[in-house]
Amino acid sequence: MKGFVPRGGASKPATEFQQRIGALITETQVSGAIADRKYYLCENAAPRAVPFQQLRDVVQGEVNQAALGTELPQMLEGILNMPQATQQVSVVISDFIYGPARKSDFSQLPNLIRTSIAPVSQKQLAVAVFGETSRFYGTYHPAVKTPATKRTLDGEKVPYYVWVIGPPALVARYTAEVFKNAPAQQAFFGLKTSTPVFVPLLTKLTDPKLKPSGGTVYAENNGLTLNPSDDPVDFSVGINLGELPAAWQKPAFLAQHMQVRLPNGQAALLPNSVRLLTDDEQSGQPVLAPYTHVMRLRVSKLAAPTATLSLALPAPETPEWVAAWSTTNDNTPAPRTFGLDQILTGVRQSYPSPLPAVFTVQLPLKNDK
Amino acid sequence: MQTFFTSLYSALISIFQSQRPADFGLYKTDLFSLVGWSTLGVALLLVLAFYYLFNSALRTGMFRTTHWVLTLALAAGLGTLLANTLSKSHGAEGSSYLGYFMVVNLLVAALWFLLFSVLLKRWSTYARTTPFVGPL
Repeated sequence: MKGFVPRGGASKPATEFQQRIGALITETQVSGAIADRKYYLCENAAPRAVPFQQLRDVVQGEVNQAALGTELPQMLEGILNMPQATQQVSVVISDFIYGPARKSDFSQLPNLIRTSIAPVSQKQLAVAVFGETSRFYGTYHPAVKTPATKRTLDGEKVPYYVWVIGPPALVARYTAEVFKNAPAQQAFFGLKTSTPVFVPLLTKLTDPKLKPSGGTVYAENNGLTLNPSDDPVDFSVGINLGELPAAWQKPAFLAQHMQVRLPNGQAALLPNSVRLLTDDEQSGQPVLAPYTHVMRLRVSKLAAPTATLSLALPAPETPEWVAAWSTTNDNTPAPRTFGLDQILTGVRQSYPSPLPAVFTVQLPLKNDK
Repeated sequence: MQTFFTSLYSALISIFQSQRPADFGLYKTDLFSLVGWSTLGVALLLVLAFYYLFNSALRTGMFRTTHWVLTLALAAGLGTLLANTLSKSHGAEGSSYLGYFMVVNLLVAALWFLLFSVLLKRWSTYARTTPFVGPL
Protein backbone atom coordinates (compact mmCIF):
# COMPACT_ATOMS: atom_id res chain seq x y z
CA MET A 1 0.00 0.00 0.00
CA LYS A 2 2.84 2.40 0.81
CA GLY A 3 3.84 2.39 -2.85
CA PHE A 4 0.55 4.08 -3.81
CA VAL A 5 1.37 7.07 -1.65
CA PRO A 6 4.83 8.38 -2.54
CA ARG A 7 5.91 11.58 -0.87
CA GLY A 8 5.44 13.77 -3.94
CA GLY A 9 6.47 17.35 -4.53
CA ALA A 10 5.85 20.13 -6.96
CA SER A 11 7.47 18.24 -9.82
CA LYS A 12 5.87 14.84 -9.18
CA PRO A 13 2.20 14.44 -9.99
CA ALA A 14 0.09 12.64 -7.42
CA THR A 15 -0.70 8.98 -8.15
CA GLU A 16 -4.17 7.96 -9.22
CA PHE A 17 -4.64 6.52 -5.73
CA GLN A 18 -3.70 9.82 -4.11
CA GLN A 19 -6.06 11.80 -6.35
CA ARG A 20 -9.06 9.50 -6.02
CA ILE A 21 -8.72 8.58 -2.35
CA GLY A 22 -7.71 12.09 -1.33
CA ALA A 23 -10.95 13.35 -2.86
CA LEU A 24 -12.97 10.51 -1.33
CA ILE A 25 -11.79 11.05 2.25
CA THR A 26 -12.21 14.80 1.89
CA GLU A 27 -15.77 14.40 0.64
CA THR A 28 -16.43 11.95 3.46
CA GLN A 29 -15.08 14.47 5.96
CA VAL A 30 -17.12 17.44 4.73
CA SER A 31 -20.27 15.94 3.15
CA GLY A 32 -23.58 16.87 4.72
CA ALA A 33 -24.94 13.44 3.79
CA ILE A 34 -22.83 11.88 6.55
CA ALA A 35 -23.84 12.29 10.18
CA ASP A 36 -20.67 10.95 11.75
CA ARG A 37 -17.38 9.59 10.49
CA LYS A 38 -14.43 7.77 12.02
CA TYR A 39 -11.16 6.80 10.36
CA TYR A 40 -9.05 3.74 11.00
CA LEU A 41 -5.76 2.30 9.84
CA CYS A 42 -5.61 -1.48 9.52
CA GLU A 43 -1.99 -2.39 10.10
CA ASN A 44 -1.63 -5.77 11.65
CA ALA A 45 -4.11 -5.94 14.46
CA ALA A 46 -7.59 -4.56 15.03
CA PRO A 47 -8.36 -1.34 13.14
CA ARG A 48 -6.70 1.60 14.87
CA ALA A 49 -8.70 4.83 15.11
CA VAL A 50 -6.87 7.86 13.75
CA PRO A 51 -7.88 11.50 13.30
CA PHE A 52 -8.72 12.69 9.79
CA GLN A 53 -5.51 14.72 9.54
CA GLN A 54 -3.40 11.63 10.12
CA LEU A 55 -5.25 9.68 7.45
CA ARG A 56 -4.78 12.55 5.06
CA ASP A 57 -1.07 12.59 5.86
CA VAL A 58 -0.90 8.90 5.00
CA VAL A 59 -2.58 9.49 1.64
CA GLN A 60 -0.22 12.30 0.75
CA GLY A 61 2.78 10.19 1.62
CA GLU A 62 3.78 11.10 5.19
CA VAL A 63 4.36 7.46 6.13
CA ASN A 64 7.63 6.35 7.51
CA GLN A 65 7.36 2.60 7.49
CA ALA A 66 5.32 0.22 5.46
CA ALA A 67 2.58 -1.49 7.42
CA LEU A 68 3.11 -5.18 7.95
CA GLY A 69 -0.22 -5.85 6.34
CA THR A 70 -3.03 -7.98 7.65
CA GLU A 71 -4.32 -11.02 5.84
CA LEU A 72 -7.44 -10.00 3.96
CA PRO A 73 -9.97 -12.17 5.86
CA GLN A 74 -8.66 -10.99 9.24
CA MET A 75 -8.86 -7.39 8.08
CA LEU A 76 -12.45 -7.72 6.84
CA GLU A 77 -13.46 -9.60 9.96
CA GLY A 78 -11.93 -6.92 12.17
CA ILE A 79 -13.81 -4.20 10.29
CA LEU A 80 -17.18 -5.93 10.39
CA ASN A 81 -16.74 -6.82 14.06
CA MET A 82 -16.54 -3.21 15.11
CA PRO A 83 -19.55 -2.02 17.09
CA GLN A 84 -22.46 -0.96 14.86
CA ALA A 85 -20.59 -2.05 11.73
CA THR A 86 -23.79 -3.65 10.45
CA GLN A 87 -25.83 -0.46 10.84
CA GLN A 88 -23.33 1.87 9.24
CA VAL A 89 -21.34 2.12 6.07
CA SER A 90 -17.77 0.82 6.22
CA VAL A 91 -15.42 1.97 3.49
CA VAL A 92 -12.40 -0.29 2.99
CA ILE A 93 -9.49 0.95 0.89
CA SER A 94 -6.90 -1.72 0.10
CA ASP A 95 -4.98 -3.49 -2.65
CA PHE A 96 -6.91 -6.64 -1.68
CA ILE A 97 -3.90 -8.80 -2.37
CA TYR A 98 -4.57 -12.01 -0.50
CA GLY A 99 -1.74 -14.51 -0.32
CA PRO A 100 -2.52 -16.80 2.61
CA ALA A 101 0.44 -17.67 4.80
CA ARG A 102 -0.72 -21.29 4.95
CA LYS A 103 -0.53 -22.93 1.54
CA SER A 104 -3.60 -25.07 2.21
CA ASP A 105 -5.76 -21.95 2.47
CA PHE A 106 -5.41 -21.31 -1.25
CA SER A 107 -7.98 -24.01 -1.99
CA GLN A 108 -10.64 -22.26 0.09
CA LEU A 109 -10.38 -18.61 -0.93
CA PRO A 110 -14.10 -17.93 -1.60
CA ASN A 111 -15.15 -19.70 1.60
CA LEU A 112 -12.55 -17.89 3.72
CA ILE A 113 -13.74 -14.56 2.39
CA ARG A 114 -17.37 -15.48 2.89
CA THR A 115 -16.70 -16.50 6.49
CA SER A 116 -14.79 -13.31 7.20
CA ILE A 117 -17.75 -11.24 6.07
CA ALA A 118 -20.36 -13.40 7.80
CA PRO A 119 -22.47 -10.37 8.83
CA VAL A 120 -22.99 -9.72 5.12
CA SER A 121 -24.74 -13.09 4.83
CA GLN A 122 -26.54 -12.84 8.14
CA LYS A 123 -27.81 -9.27 7.84
CA GLN A 124 -27.87 -9.16 4.01
CA LEU A 125 -25.60 -6.14 3.89
CA ALA A 126 -24.62 -4.76 0.52
CA VAL A 127 -21.06 -4.67 -0.83
CA ALA A 128 -20.00 -2.21 -3.51
CA VAL A 129 -16.59 -2.78 -5.09
CA PHE A 130 -14.71 -0.13 -7.05
CA GLY A 131 -11.42 -0.91 -8.79
CA GLU A 132 -8.75 1.31 -10.29
CA THR A 133 -5.10 1.00 -11.24
CA SER A 134 -2.57 3.42 -9.87
CA ARG A 135 1.12 4.05 -10.30
CA PHE A 136 3.13 2.33 -7.59
CA TYR A 137 6.56 3.32 -6.24
CA GLY A 138 8.37 0.98 -3.91
CA THR A 139 8.21 -2.53 -2.59
CA TYR A 140 5.45 -4.67 -4.00
CA HIS A 141 4.51 -7.93 -2.23
CA PRO A 142 2.75 -10.34 -4.61
CA ALA A 143 0.49 -13.08 -3.34
CA VAL A 144 2.42 -15.70 -5.28
CA LYS A 145 5.93 -15.67 -3.77
CA THR A 146 7.92 -17.47 -6.47
CA PRO A 147 10.23 -16.66 -8.08
CA ALA A 148 10.45 -13.30 -6.27
CA THR A 149 8.96 -12.70 -2.82
CA LYS A 150 8.95 -8.97 -3.45
CA ARG A 151 9.69 -6.55 -6.23
CA THR A 152 10.53 -2.90 -6.45
CA LEU A 153 8.28 -0.94 -8.76
CA ASP A 154 8.86 2.50 -10.21
CA GLY A 155 5.53 3.75 -11.42
CA GLU A 156 4.10 0.54 -12.86
CA LYS A 157 0.34 0.42 -12.53
CA VAL A 158 -1.28 -2.04 -10.14
CA PRO A 159 -4.86 -2.19 -8.87
CA TYR A 160 -6.36 -1.06 -5.62
CA TYR A 161 -9.97 -1.28 -4.54
CA VAL A 162 -12.55 0.54 -2.50
CA TRP A 163 -15.20 -1.62 -0.85
CA VAL A 164 -18.29 -0.04 0.63
CA ILE A 165 -20.09 -2.40 3.02
CA GLY A 166 -23.29 -1.71 4.94
CA PRO A 167 -27.07 -1.70 4.89
CA PRO A 168 -28.17 -1.71 1.21
CA ALA A 169 -29.92 1.66 1.13
CA LEU A 170 -27.01 3.37 2.94
CA VAL A 171 -24.45 1.86 0.57
CA ALA A 172 -26.55 3.14 -2.35
CA ARG A 173 -26.67 6.60 -0.81
CA TYR A 174 -22.97 6.74 0.02
CA THR A 175 -22.15 5.67 -3.52
CA ALA A 176 -24.50 8.18 -5.14
CA GLU A 177 -23.89 11.17 -2.88
CA VAL A 178 -20.35 10.84 -1.51
CA PHE A 179 -18.29 8.67 -3.89
CA LYS A 180 -19.32 10.81 -6.82
CA ASN A 181 -16.09 10.48 -8.78
CA ALA A 182 -15.95 6.70 -8.56
CA PRO A 183 -13.78 4.82 -11.08
CA ALA A 184 -15.40 2.99 -13.98
CA GLN A 185 -14.83 -0.53 -12.63
CA GLN A 186 -17.75 -1.14 -10.29
CA ALA A 187 -19.46 -4.22 -8.92
CA PHE A 188 -22.42 -4.28 -6.57
CA PHE A 189 -23.73 -7.11 -4.46
CA GLY A 190 -27.01 -7.03 -2.56
CA LEU A 191 -27.60 -3.39 -3.35
CA LYS A 192 -31.16 -2.19 -2.78
CA THR A 193 -32.54 1.29 -2.88
CA SER A 194 -35.57 2.48 -0.99
CA THR A 195 -38.67 2.25 -3.21
CA PRO A 196 -38.26 5.04 -5.76
CA VAL A 197 -40.93 7.66 -6.32
CA PHE A 198 -42.85 6.40 -9.33
CA VAL A 199 -45.98 7.60 -11.11
CA PRO A 200 -47.75 7.12 -14.46
CA LEU A 201 -47.78 10.42 -16.34
CA LEU A 202 -51.15 11.08 -17.93
CA THR A 203 -52.16 14.72 -17.63
CA LYS A 204 -50.65 18.21 -17.47
CA LEU A 205 -48.12 17.29 -20.16
CA THR A 206 -47.27 19.51 -23.07
CA ASP A 207 -44.85 17.19 -24.88
CA PRO A 208 -46.99 15.06 -27.23
CA LYS A 209 -44.43 12.24 -27.02
CA LEU A 210 -45.09 11.88 -23.29
CA LYS A 211 -48.89 11.85 -23.55
CA PRO A 212 -50.69 8.52 -23.43
CA SER A 213 -51.70 7.02 -26.75
CA GLY A 214 -53.69 4.06 -28.05
CA GLY A 215 -56.63 2.73 -26.05
CA THR A 216 -58.35 4.28 -23.07
CA VAL A 217 -56.22 4.88 -19.97
CA TYR A 218 -56.93 7.06 -16.97
CA ALA A 219 -55.89 7.32 -13.33
CA GLU A 220 -58.25 6.16 -10.63
CA ASN A 221 -57.80 5.17 -6.97
CA ASN A 222 -53.96 5.27 -7.04
CA GLY A 223 -53.90 3.00 -10.05
CA LEU A 224 -54.76 2.98 -13.70
CA THR A 225 -57.96 1.98 -15.42
CA LEU A 226 -57.34 0.98 -18.98
CA ASN A 227 -58.75 -0.85 -21.95
CA PRO A 228 -56.20 -2.41 -24.28
CA SER A 229 -58.69 -4.64 -26.11
CA ASP A 230 -58.85 -2.57 -29.32
CA ASP A 231 -55.53 -0.75 -29.28
CA PRO A 232 -52.53 -1.36 -27.02
CA VAL A 233 -52.23 1.36 -24.39
CA ASP A 234 -48.96 3.33 -24.29
CA PHE A 235 -48.18 5.66 -21.43
CA SER A 236 -45.13 7.28 -19.86
CA VAL A 237 -44.04 6.83 -16.28
CA GLY A 238 -41.83 9.12 -14.23
CA ILE A 239 -39.42 7.62 -11.73
CA ASN A 240 -36.77 9.03 -9.41
CA LEU A 241 -33.63 6.92 -9.66
CA GLY A 242 -31.30 9.40 -7.96
CA GLU A 243 -30.26 6.74 -5.42
CA LEU A 244 -28.82 4.38 -8.01
CA PRO A 245 -25.07 4.31 -8.69
CA ALA A 246 -24.21 6.62 -11.59
CA ALA A 247 -23.49 3.70 -13.94
CA TRP A 248 -26.94 2.29 -13.30
CA GLN A 249 -28.67 5.58 -13.98
CA LYS A 250 -27.57 5.44 -17.62
CA PRO A 251 -30.57 4.96 -19.95
CA ALA A 252 -28.80 2.20 -21.90
CA PHE A 253 -28.20 0.19 -18.73
CA LEU A 254 -31.77 0.65 -17.53
CA ALA A 255 -33.26 -0.22 -20.92
CA GLN A 256 -31.24 -3.42 -20.94
CA HIS A 257 -32.01 -4.52 -17.38
CA MET A 258 -35.41 -3.19 -16.31
CA GLN A 259 -38.11 -5.83 -16.13
CA VAL A 260 -41.84 -5.30 -16.59
CA ARG A 261 -44.22 -7.98 -15.39
CA LEU A 262 -47.99 -8.17 -15.69
CA PRO A 263 -49.60 -11.44 -14.59
CA ASN A 264 -52.87 -12.04 -16.49
CA GLY A 265 -51.80 -9.64 -19.16
CA GLN A 266 -49.05 -8.44 -21.39
CA ALA A 267 -46.88 -5.40 -20.80
CA ALA A 268 -43.50 -4.24 -22.01
CA LEU A 269 -41.03 -1.42 -21.85
CA LEU A 270 -40.96 0.29 -25.24
CA PRO A 271 -37.51 0.20 -26.90
CA ASN A 272 -35.45 3.40 -26.70
CA SER A 273 -37.95 4.96 -24.34
CA VAL A 274 -35.82 5.21 -21.20
CA ARG A 275 -34.22 8.60 -20.89
CA LEU A 276 -33.11 11.24 -18.43
CA LEU A 277 -35.35 14.25 -17.96
CA THR A 278 -33.75 17.55 -18.83
CA ASP A 279 -34.00 20.69 -16.72
CA ASP A 280 -35.95 22.38 -19.53
CA GLU A 281 -38.59 19.67 -19.53
CA GLN A 282 -38.90 19.83 -15.77
CA SER A 283 -39.34 23.58 -15.65
CA GLY A 284 -41.71 23.54 -18.64
CA GLN A 285 -43.82 20.71 -17.24
CA PRO A 286 -43.79 20.97 -13.43
CA VAL A 287 -45.53 17.60 -13.19
CA LEU A 288 -42.16 16.05 -14.15
CA ALA A 289 -40.15 17.82 -11.46
CA PRO A 290 -40.01 14.97 -8.89
CA TYR A 291 -38.48 12.49 -11.33
CA THR A 292 -35.06 11.86 -12.84
CA HIS A 293 -36.13 9.50 -15.63
CA VAL A 294 -39.07 8.79 -17.90
CA MET A 295 -39.82 5.57 -19.70
CA ARG A 296 -42.75 4.41 -21.77
CA LEU A 297 -44.76 1.27 -21.09
CA ARG A 298 -47.14 -0.59 -23.37
CA VAL A 299 -49.98 -2.71 -22.04
CA SER A 300 -51.28 -4.82 -24.90
CA LYS A 301 -53.41 -7.33 -23.03
CA LEU A 302 -55.28 -7.39 -19.74
CA ALA A 303 -57.22 -10.61 -19.22
CA ALA A 304 -58.40 -10.13 -15.63
CA PRO A 305 -60.64 -7.39 -14.19
CA THR A 306 -57.70 -6.26 -12.04
CA ALA A 307 -53.97 -6.93 -12.16
CA THR A 308 -50.73 -5.53 -10.77
CA LEU A 309 -48.02 -4.32 -13.04
CA SER A 310 -44.54 -4.44 -11.53
CA LEU A 311 -41.43 -2.70 -12.74
CA ALA A 312 -38.19 -4.03 -11.29
CA LEU A 313 -34.46 -3.59 -11.68
CA PRO A 314 -32.99 -7.07 -11.13
CA ALA A 315 -29.50 -6.97 -9.67
CA PRO A 316 -26.85 -7.60 -12.33
CA GLU A 317 -24.48 -10.49 -11.70
CA THR A 318 -20.73 -10.00 -11.22
CA PRO A 319 -19.59 -7.76 -14.09
CA GLU A 320 -17.14 -8.88 -16.75
CA TRP A 321 -14.24 -6.65 -15.74
CA VAL A 322 -13.72 -8.79 -12.63
CA ALA A 323 -12.51 -11.73 -14.71
CA ALA A 324 -10.26 -9.45 -16.76
CA TRP A 325 -8.71 -8.01 -13.60
CA SER A 326 -8.08 -11.42 -12.00
CA THR A 327 -4.96 -13.53 -12.28
CA THR A 328 -3.69 -16.80 -10.87
CA ASN A 329 -0.13 -15.53 -10.71
CA ASP A 330 0.67 -11.96 -9.75
CA ASN A 331 4.40 -12.49 -9.31
CA THR A 332 5.01 -10.23 -12.27
CA PRO A 333 3.11 -7.06 -11.38
CA ALA A 334 0.32 -6.21 -13.82
CA PRO A 335 -3.02 -4.41 -13.61
CA ARG A 336 -4.53 -7.62 -12.22
CA THR A 337 -5.13 -8.90 -8.73
CA PHE A 338 -4.45 -12.40 -7.51
CA GLY A 339 -7.71 -14.33 -7.10
CA LEU A 340 -9.99 -11.30 -7.41
CA ASP A 341 -12.62 -13.51 -9.03
CA GLN A 342 -12.41 -15.96 -6.12
CA ILE A 343 -12.59 -13.20 -3.54
CA LEU A 344 -15.70 -11.77 -5.20
CA THR A 345 -17.18 -15.25 -5.56
CA GLY A 346 -17.02 -15.39 -1.79
CA VAL A 347 -18.93 -12.10 -1.67
CA ARG A 348 -21.43 -13.28 -4.27
CA GLN A 349 -22.12 -16.49 -2.34
CA SER A 350 -23.28 -14.40 0.62
CA TYR A 351 -26.50 -13.72 -1.30
CA PRO A 352 -29.28 -15.89 -2.70
CA SER A 353 -29.34 -16.80 -6.35
CA PRO A 354 -30.67 -14.97 -8.27
CA LEU A 355 -29.73 -11.76 -6.48
CA PRO A 356 -32.70 -9.87 -5.03
CA ALA A 357 -34.01 -6.99 -7.15
CA VAL A 358 -32.48 -3.55 -6.58
CA PHE A 359 -35.97 -2.11 -6.42
CA THR A 360 -39.51 -3.01 -7.42
CA VAL A 361 -42.40 -0.62 -7.93
CA GLN A 362 -46.00 -1.69 -8.45
CA LEU A 363 -48.97 -0.20 -10.21
CA PRO A 364 -52.51 -1.57 -9.79
CA LEU A 365 -54.42 -1.87 -13.07
CA LYS A 366 -58.14 -2.20 -13.63
CA ASN A 367 -59.88 -3.19 -16.82
CA ASP A 368 -62.17 -0.48 -18.14
CA LYS A 369 -65.29 -2.34 -19.14
CA MET B 1 -76.46 9.99 -7.77
CA GLN B 2 -72.76 10.08 -8.67
CA THR B 3 -73.11 6.66 -10.29
CA PHE B 4 -76.26 7.83 -12.04
CA PHE B 5 -74.60 10.90 -13.52
CA THR B 6 -71.49 8.94 -14.45
CA SER B 7 -73.55 6.28 -16.25
CA LEU B 8 -75.75 8.89 -17.92
CA TYR B 9 -72.94 11.09 -19.21
CA SER B 10 -70.44 8.38 -20.13
CA ALA B 11 -73.14 6.45 -22.01
CA LEU B 12 -74.25 9.53 -23.91
CA ILE B 13 -70.71 10.71 -24.69
CA SER B 14 -69.71 7.23 -25.86
CA ILE B 15 -72.21 7.64 -28.70
CA PHE B 16 -69.80 10.24 -30.07
CA GLN B 17 -66.48 8.94 -28.76
CA SER B 18 -65.72 5.61 -27.07
CA GLN B 19 -62.10 6.52 -26.28
CA ARG B 20 -61.84 7.94 -22.78
CA PRO B 21 -59.34 10.72 -22.05
CA ALA B 22 -56.35 10.46 -19.71
CA ASP B 23 -58.14 12.66 -17.16
CA PHE B 24 -61.33 10.57 -17.21
CA GLY B 25 -60.77 9.78 -13.51
CA LEU B 26 -61.49 13.45 -12.80
CA TYR B 27 -64.73 13.30 -14.78
CA LYS B 28 -65.75 10.17 -12.94
CA THR B 29 -65.02 11.38 -9.42
CA ASP B 30 -65.86 15.10 -9.71
CA LEU B 31 -67.06 16.55 -12.97
CA PHE B 32 -70.04 14.37 -13.94
CA SER B 33 -71.80 14.78 -10.61
CA LEU B 34 -70.85 18.44 -10.19
CA VAL B 35 -71.95 19.42 -13.69
CA GLY B 36 -74.92 17.06 -13.43
CA TRP B 37 -76.27 18.65 -10.25
CA SER B 38 -75.60 22.20 -11.44
CA THR B 39 -77.38 21.57 -14.73
CA LEU B 40 -80.32 20.00 -12.93
CA GLY B 41 -80.49 23.01 -10.59
CA VAL B 42 -80.25 25.57 -13.39
CA ALA B 43 -83.02 23.82 -15.38
CA LEU B 44 -85.25 23.70 -12.30
CA LEU B 45 -84.63 27.38 -11.50
CA LEU B 46 -85.48 28.41 -15.07
CA VAL B 47 -88.68 26.34 -15.01
CA LEU B 48 -89.68 27.86 -11.67
CA ALA B 49 -88.92 31.35 -12.98
CA PHE B 50 -90.86 30.81 -16.21
CA TYR B 51 -94.03 29.29 -14.70
CA TYR B 52 -94.21 30.83 -11.23
CA LEU B 53 -92.36 34.15 -11.47
CA PHE B 54 -93.15 35.50 -14.92
CA ASN B 55 -96.44 33.67 -15.38
CA SER B 56 -97.96 33.55 -11.87
CA ALA B 57 -96.54 36.19 -9.53
CA LEU B 58 -96.10 38.69 -12.34
CA ARG B 59 -98.35 39.09 -15.31
CA THR B 60 -95.84 39.66 -18.06
CA GLY B 61 -97.70 38.08 -20.94
CA MET B 62 -94.70 35.82 -21.71
CA PHE B 63 -96.68 32.60 -21.77
CA ARG B 64 -96.38 31.77 -25.44
CA THR B 65 -94.51 28.74 -26.79
CA THR B 66 -91.93 31.08 -28.32
CA HIS B 67 -91.08 32.38 -24.83
CA TRP B 68 -90.88 28.85 -23.51
CA VAL B 69 -88.60 27.78 -26.36
CA LEU B 70 -86.34 30.77 -25.73
CA THR B 71 -86.08 29.82 -22.04
CA LEU B 72 -85.31 26.23 -23.03
CA ALA B 73 -82.58 27.55 -25.31
CA LEU B 74 -81.21 29.53 -22.39
CA ALA B 75 -81.16 26.38 -20.23
CA ALA B 76 -79.39 24.44 -22.99
CA GLY B 77 -76.85 27.25 -23.46
CA LEU B 78 -76.17 27.42 -19.74
CA GLY B 79 -75.72 23.61 -19.76
CA THR B 80 -72.96 23.93 -22.35
CA LEU B 81 -71.36 26.80 -20.48
CA LEU B 82 -71.46 24.95 -17.14
CA ALA B 83 -69.87 21.82 -18.61
CA ASN B 84 -67.05 23.93 -20.03
CA THR B 85 -66.30 26.32 -17.17
CA LEU B 86 -66.72 23.85 -14.29
CA SER B 87 -64.55 21.23 -16.04
CA LYS B 88 -61.80 23.70 -16.89
CA SER B 89 -61.82 25.24 -13.41
CA HIS B 90 -61.39 21.78 -11.88
CA GLY B 91 -58.38 21.01 -14.04
CA ALA B 92 -59.80 19.14 -17.01
CA GLU B 93 -57.68 19.46 -20.12
CA GLY B 94 -59.09 20.72 -23.39
CA SER B 95 -59.94 17.61 -25.43
CA SER B 96 -62.50 16.31 -27.88
CA TYR B 97 -64.04 14.45 -24.95
CA LEU B 98 -64.71 17.75 -23.18
CA GLY B 99 -66.28 19.03 -26.41
CA TYR B 100 -68.67 16.11 -26.57
CA PHE B 101 -69.41 16.54 -22.87
CA MET B 102 -70.54 20.09 -23.63
CA VAL B 103 -72.76 18.86 -26.49
CA VAL B 104 -74.26 16.14 -24.31
CA ASN B 105 -74.89 18.55 -21.46
CA LEU B 106 -76.73 20.87 -23.86
CA LEU B 107 -79.13 18.01 -24.55
CA VAL B 108 -79.34 16.99 -20.89
CA ALA B 109 -80.15 20.56 -19.80
CA ALA B 110 -82.91 20.77 -22.43
CA LEU B 111 -84.21 17.39 -21.27
CA TRP B 112 -84.35 18.45 -17.61
CA PHE B 113 -86.09 21.68 -18.65
CA LEU B 114 -88.73 19.73 -20.60
CA LEU B 115 -89.23 17.26 -17.76
CA PHE B 116 -89.66 19.93 -15.07
CA SER B 117 -91.98 21.89 -17.37
CA VAL B 118 -94.27 18.91 -17.78
CA LEU B 119 -94.20 18.21 -14.02
CA LEU B 120 -94.73 21.78 -12.80
CA LYS B 121 -96.70 23.70 -15.44
CA ARG B 122 -100.19 22.84 -14.17
CA TRP B 123 -99.82 25.02 -11.06
CA SER B 124 -98.94 28.07 -13.12
CA THR B 125 -101.61 30.78 -13.36
CA TYR B 126 -101.12 31.97 -16.94
CA ALA B 127 -98.96 29.30 -18.59
CA ARG B 128 -100.47 25.97 -17.57
CA THR B 129 -100.89 24.93 -21.22
CA THR B 130 -97.44 26.08 -22.38
CA PRO B 131 -95.91 24.48 -24.40
CA PHE B 132 -98.76 21.99 -24.79
CA VAL B 133 -101.93 20.79 -23.06
CA GLY B 134 -101.52 17.83 -20.71
CA PRO B 135 -100.43 15.15 -20.15
CA LEU B 136 -100.61 15.87 -16.38
